[in-house]
Amino acid sequence: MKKYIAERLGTALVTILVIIFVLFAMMQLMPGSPFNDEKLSRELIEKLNEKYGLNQPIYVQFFKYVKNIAKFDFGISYVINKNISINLMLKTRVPTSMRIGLQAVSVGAVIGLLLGIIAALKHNTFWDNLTTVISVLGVSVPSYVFALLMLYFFAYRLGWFPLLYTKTEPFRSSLLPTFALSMFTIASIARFTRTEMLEVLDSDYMLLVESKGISGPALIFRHALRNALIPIVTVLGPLVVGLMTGSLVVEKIFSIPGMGALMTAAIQANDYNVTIAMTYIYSVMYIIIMLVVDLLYGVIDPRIRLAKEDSGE
Amino acid sequence: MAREKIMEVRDLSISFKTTTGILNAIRGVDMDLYRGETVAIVGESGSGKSVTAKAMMGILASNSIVNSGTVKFTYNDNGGESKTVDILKMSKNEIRRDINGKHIAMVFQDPMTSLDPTMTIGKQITESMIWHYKTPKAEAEAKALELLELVGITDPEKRMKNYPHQLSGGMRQRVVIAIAMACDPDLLICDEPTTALDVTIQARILELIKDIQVKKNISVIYITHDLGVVAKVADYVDVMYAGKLVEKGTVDEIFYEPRHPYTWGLLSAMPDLDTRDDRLYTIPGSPPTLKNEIKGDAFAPRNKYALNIDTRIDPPMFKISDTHYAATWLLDDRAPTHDMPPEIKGRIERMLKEENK
Amino acid sequence: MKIAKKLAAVLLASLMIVSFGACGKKSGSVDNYIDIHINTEVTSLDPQEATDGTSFGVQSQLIEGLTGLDKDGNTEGLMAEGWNVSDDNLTWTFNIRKDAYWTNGDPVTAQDFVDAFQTLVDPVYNSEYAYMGYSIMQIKGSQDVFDGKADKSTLGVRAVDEKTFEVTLEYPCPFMLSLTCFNSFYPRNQKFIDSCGENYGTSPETFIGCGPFKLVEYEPSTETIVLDKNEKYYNADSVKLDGLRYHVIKDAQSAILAYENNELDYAVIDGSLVETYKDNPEFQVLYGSYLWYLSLNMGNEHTFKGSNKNLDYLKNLNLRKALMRAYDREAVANNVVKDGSIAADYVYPKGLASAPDGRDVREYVDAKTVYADCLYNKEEAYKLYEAAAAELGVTDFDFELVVEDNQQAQDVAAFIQGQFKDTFQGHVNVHLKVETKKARLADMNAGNFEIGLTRWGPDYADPMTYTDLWSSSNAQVYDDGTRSLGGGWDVVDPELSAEYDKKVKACKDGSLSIQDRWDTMMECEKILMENAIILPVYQKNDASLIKGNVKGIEFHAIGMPTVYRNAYIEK
Repeated sequence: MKKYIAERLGTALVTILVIIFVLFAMMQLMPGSPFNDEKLSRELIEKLNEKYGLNQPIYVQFFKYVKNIAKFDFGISYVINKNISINLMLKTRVPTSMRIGLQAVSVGAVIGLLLGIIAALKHNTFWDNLTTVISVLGVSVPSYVFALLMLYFFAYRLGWFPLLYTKTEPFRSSLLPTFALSMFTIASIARFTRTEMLEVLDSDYMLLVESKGISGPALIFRHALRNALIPIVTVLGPLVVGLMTGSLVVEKIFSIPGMGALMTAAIQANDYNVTIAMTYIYSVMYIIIMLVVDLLYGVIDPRIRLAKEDSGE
Repeated sequence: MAREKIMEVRDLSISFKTTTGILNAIRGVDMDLYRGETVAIVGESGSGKSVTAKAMMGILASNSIVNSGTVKFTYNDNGGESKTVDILKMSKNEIRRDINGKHIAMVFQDPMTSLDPTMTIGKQITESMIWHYKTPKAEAEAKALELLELVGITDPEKRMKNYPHQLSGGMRQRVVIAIAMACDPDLLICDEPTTALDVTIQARILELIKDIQVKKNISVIYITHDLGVVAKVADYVDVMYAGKLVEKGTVDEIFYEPRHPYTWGLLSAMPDLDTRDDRLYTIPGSPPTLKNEIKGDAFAPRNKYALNIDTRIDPPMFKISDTHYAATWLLDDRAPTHDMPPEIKGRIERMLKEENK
Repeated sequence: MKIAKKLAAVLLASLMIVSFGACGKKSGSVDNYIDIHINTEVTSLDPQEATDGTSFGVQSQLIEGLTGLDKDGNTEGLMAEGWNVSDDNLTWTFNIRKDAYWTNGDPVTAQDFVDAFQTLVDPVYNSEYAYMGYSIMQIKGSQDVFDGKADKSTLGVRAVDEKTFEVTLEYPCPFMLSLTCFNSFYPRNQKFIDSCGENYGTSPETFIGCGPFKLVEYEPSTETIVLDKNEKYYNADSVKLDGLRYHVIKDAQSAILAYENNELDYAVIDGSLVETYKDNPEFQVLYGSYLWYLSLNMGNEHTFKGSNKNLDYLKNLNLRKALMRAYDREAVANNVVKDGSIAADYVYPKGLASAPDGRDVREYVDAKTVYADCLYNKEEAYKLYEAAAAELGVTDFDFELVVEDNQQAQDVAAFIQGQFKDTFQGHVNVHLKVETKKARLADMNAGNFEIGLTRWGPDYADPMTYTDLWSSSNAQVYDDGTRSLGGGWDVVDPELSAEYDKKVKACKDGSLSIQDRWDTMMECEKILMENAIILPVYQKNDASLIKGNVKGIEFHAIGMPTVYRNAYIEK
């Protein structure tokens, strides 16, 4: 296991280094400057480039950038929040997106798993069909539509929840976005769980477990789900990243000050530092979560954990 | 000592609902099993032998329908009192709670796939003890070690902590047997236990099961298509064809005095070192599909000795001896006498010679 | 995704129509705060730093400049209770209100304005709006300060005493009092700002104001900004609201739901919802700031390798006029943009400024009659085309139209493309080149285009903010021979261009009376229109909904933030 972890960590670090380099290269290749208003004269743009060090030789910019990014110091925003430290901008946005994302992942994974398990256990019954319908809807209907419908019915018509995200009620006002966000996760996890569970339930070892007299939750969770989880974890990983980094659409509809909204704003405004910061954070989060997924694999599947050991007889 | 009957199957008839229609897998099977004895159920795939075993285990697939019959199982309950139940009348939960693992255990065909890949060997063995008897963990583990030794696994302490993928196929089958023996069952059902294994390992596993059977005085049902296995292990043989029993008897009766043309066919198809023919005998044709109502003897179309009546009326079981029965009109008094085909005769003679050597 | 969005919008609109009858929520503000919808975040609370309308709007509730606009759009004193201008119109003296205080209790002083004006043109600070100081107001010495040739202390501003602020200009500025309304000229409490260091303007604790409201809840790019009534405001007694709450809501549908749910008192709505709401009594169109027009490249052939015949063709007056009359501007506004925008048959937008007689610029010069020869007319356009074709000896034209990648701009460009094809019976075609906004600006700035769909927003409430754009002095010639996008028609008609330049100069140097100056600017517009120097398309307006019980909000169309200090909620 130790070797396995070390290997994964090594890969993760190398990936981050590559990303740092690629990010820098991409920003260099991008056309235009962050300063593009009809009203700016060429002289003024040159002065602004000078002010923000954008006219220095590339290698100087690169070393400065690597040094700062390693310290998670992203500098200041040029456009979105003029001259304000990006870390200050991220201070509340990252936790907000991550919290709502985590909520959505938890809800999505739990409900998705339950639906998938029920569908598999009640294979070819009403419940199974219901789950299939939910899955198809969840995967094919964009979260934009879900978000709006939820907003309309639960917040506007019924008034159960606040319409828009507010810091004064962070939990209650994050419930609708959480559910809107989790629909896709619920759907894909349910669909996946169903397939995997059916396959596992049909396997020889489940027959053996049954023939041992094991039944009920022990049969489903200790044996079936655990085996079905291995492929499920694979799809869950990228979903987690997607949700934690904030969904642009849901953040927009519920007016959540999160990372997704900032990322779009940064790209549209050509705010280099913010774009780099966000991409970097996304990448690091992605790598960390994929690392966790890899480690989870090891925990769930001894074949991966113990791959290097010899087999007997 | 009187023979103690532990399993009595009567008129068992099971169908399956499939997407293409109803499939009549078993059509009126009777079977008996006594304590300490071994019965082999022999037949081609699709003959219904596995379904019969699964019905005894109460692990029939969810699309099965029991049309008729009883599967009476006699065992000593926790208080030591003898108890007889009809497994077909029990709920799934009752079967899991009272029968599976505790009194009837099963060994499956493919050891590569029949162990849970995510659980250690030790846990898989101790699981049913803890589940059924709330055996303390330490005690269960001690017993698991014993069992591993019993099934001939070296270095059992280390193996307890291993996962299935770290073991070879033969070792895995030993582990499966250890799992089956964990709760000291009265009956062990072995579904083609050696088919997936190497020839050299096959014999060892069979011997192991035999040893255990003697040591623990349990009954064993073998499900197999391999008469070689039957010859080595069985006391009694039930030959099944198309969901029916066609011949039953002691192992000697079946091997030396087979009466049913299907049994003749099976024996001819058995590989034999001395067979002079270059080609292995195969029974012509293939088993009938069980989707349609079968009129007369199901084996008739493949039987070169088939009589006119075979195509109209299903033959009853004719008694040959107290232990030997066969379902073929050839045994009817009115039937023309047919001797065993000569190639079977020759083969039996060779077998007898072998035996007497 | 686009289809899904449209579907959702339609779905929602129909749901709402069904539900309004049914649910009977009472409409109106529920407490003594006005909840205001903004659809972009505030980028900066630093007046010398900000460049966008949202930031300006919030700032102007928190800080006041020397002057402001009253409800009729006339200039009034805010921080300045009076002012004088020297006979040569070059030196302005403002008397700062004695009772003006910052929220920390410091008095607002002349030095605060000196600091503000110096910061604006300080090359170290490098404000994006520095040109407001050196190019528009033209403070004495500002160009040298900005170019780094002189220290900022040499700038023509000084504190005569604690409450007397004096500013000296290079040239007379007739719209000086309109300029001093602008956020870039708001005062700075430099002592407080220095004490905050880099955290200035990032929280209520690190912000200071002197306006009718004070900041109580804010952080960079937050979704809610809360302002309370400022008790230290000199005119606090007249402020009837307890405060304002700004809500950043980027999704139009969410905003509408929030408005219907009384979570907003004032919501901006976008084109997709205008149809649903245009008959609602709470629906209002605010004359917006931007003029969208087709910019023609007539003089930048230097940037093209070899020669570009198309640019030469655009030098032809008949061809330009043909293009001017070939597309239906009413249809663009009402059928394509559909968000309350109006057709622009003129250069100076409606609501930009009032003539000396008090009439709006578009009432003073009625485009429909005065520029009748420039209006959409298919037959006339075709005749003009025939004339141009004869003069140029070419029958078929194919121009490249550069357009930025936002949906509205693309829709407009595609519509115009179709109209050209239709009007000229296939002889004049344009093909669209879609680019990101920054690429479009870069290309147009470099003269690397033929026709461009672009926009210009005013910087101050005076036609000059547009007029100046097409003077040749504004057409800067760069080292590589290219020119900036506004000017450059001197190569087409040097005499006319020179005359135009002369008129612009006269308007800027104070040599004309107010009436004459105004009329001169009107003449300039006429030159631009009749010579089809630019081809106006539409004036971008904002449609919004305002609760019926919210009264007294003062809207100032052009470049001027909405004023809430006299607003109140009817009980």
